[in-house]
Amino acid sequence: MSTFDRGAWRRGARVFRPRRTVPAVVAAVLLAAAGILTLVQAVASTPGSPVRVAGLDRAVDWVTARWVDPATVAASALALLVGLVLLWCGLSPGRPRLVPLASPDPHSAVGITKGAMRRHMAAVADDVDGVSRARVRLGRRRMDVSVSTPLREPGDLRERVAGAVEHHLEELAPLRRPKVRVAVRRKGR
Amino acid sequence: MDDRVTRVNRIWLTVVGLLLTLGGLAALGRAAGLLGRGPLIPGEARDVVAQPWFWPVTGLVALVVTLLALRWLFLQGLSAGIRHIDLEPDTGHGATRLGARAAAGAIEKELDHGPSGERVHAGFRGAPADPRLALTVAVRGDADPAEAGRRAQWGVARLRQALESDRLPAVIRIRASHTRSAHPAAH
Repeated sequence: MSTFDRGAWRRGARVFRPRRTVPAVVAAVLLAAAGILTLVQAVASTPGSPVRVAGLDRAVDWVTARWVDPATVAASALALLVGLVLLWCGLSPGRPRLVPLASPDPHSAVGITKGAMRRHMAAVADDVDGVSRARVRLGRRRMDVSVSTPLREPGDLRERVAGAVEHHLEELAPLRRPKVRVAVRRKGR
Repeated sequence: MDDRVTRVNRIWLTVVGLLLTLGGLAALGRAAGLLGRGPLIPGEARDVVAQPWFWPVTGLVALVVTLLALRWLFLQGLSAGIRHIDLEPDTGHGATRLGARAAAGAIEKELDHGPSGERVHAGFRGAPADPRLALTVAVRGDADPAEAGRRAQWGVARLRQALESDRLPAVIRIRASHTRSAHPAAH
């Protein structure tokens, strides 16, 4: 973790964080719909207004509605639920969709999808002598590489795979370098 | 910039979420008898509603909320691509317009089919006076994405030179191409 530059990571990750477009569209449409309904109701209710909206008055009988009515409680619970979801979307920055990489140019941000990084690292591990199959799992701070080998005596295979993966990680330069763990499995052949 | 859209989205989501959460909590509290029971609309409120100014003011507030919500909604379209870019931001000298597709096509042509077999897609986002290059580089499974990234940076530098805009912000996304021929797990 000594090489981890938090500021650089945050700047790099910002570009790849979710923009919250879907919750924003949902909330904006709901807000606009509520505004338009209220506006129509207000115009219809203004004394002397020629506008009459049939049905709107009867949608909810406000005069007799009580706080303990099941419909009121259900609507309140729904508002609370939607409110909490929107609040969470607004307050949490969300995880970056791509793995941010170091960029020598301050005006550009570079990122790689987790799939591409996984595939590349699996190919790197696969190229090591004695490896017959490699699989990579990528966590937030950890990269688990599991390789299969037909060798009876794998010897230093684990170290060689780790070395190759570390070397290519250095080349790729993710802003937050994952910790590499290698597991070697002998293939019964 | 998309950064601005994200910021606006998060602020608005927080505000709307907070209002809904507080309103829902208060209403549930009343239903549970914490804040006093009674009808949804108390008798005194009916006197307020009867005032001649009540509905016009409510309508005005609703109109403002609707307009703000629509503005927020249309802001989401900003993250879509732009058709042209303005090369001379200083309007005193007259603007030079360039088709965004032409500029994007130039860098695509420059970078496509590189040594890593990369397929490149370019587009411009943001606003014509403040464009941002979005570059997606698809690399083959056996290719080195670090090399593809460096080549993309070089392409961006060349484009900046051609556009005489050394600060054109760029976002480069590297992803795996869908061709399975060189998949490491294929054997």
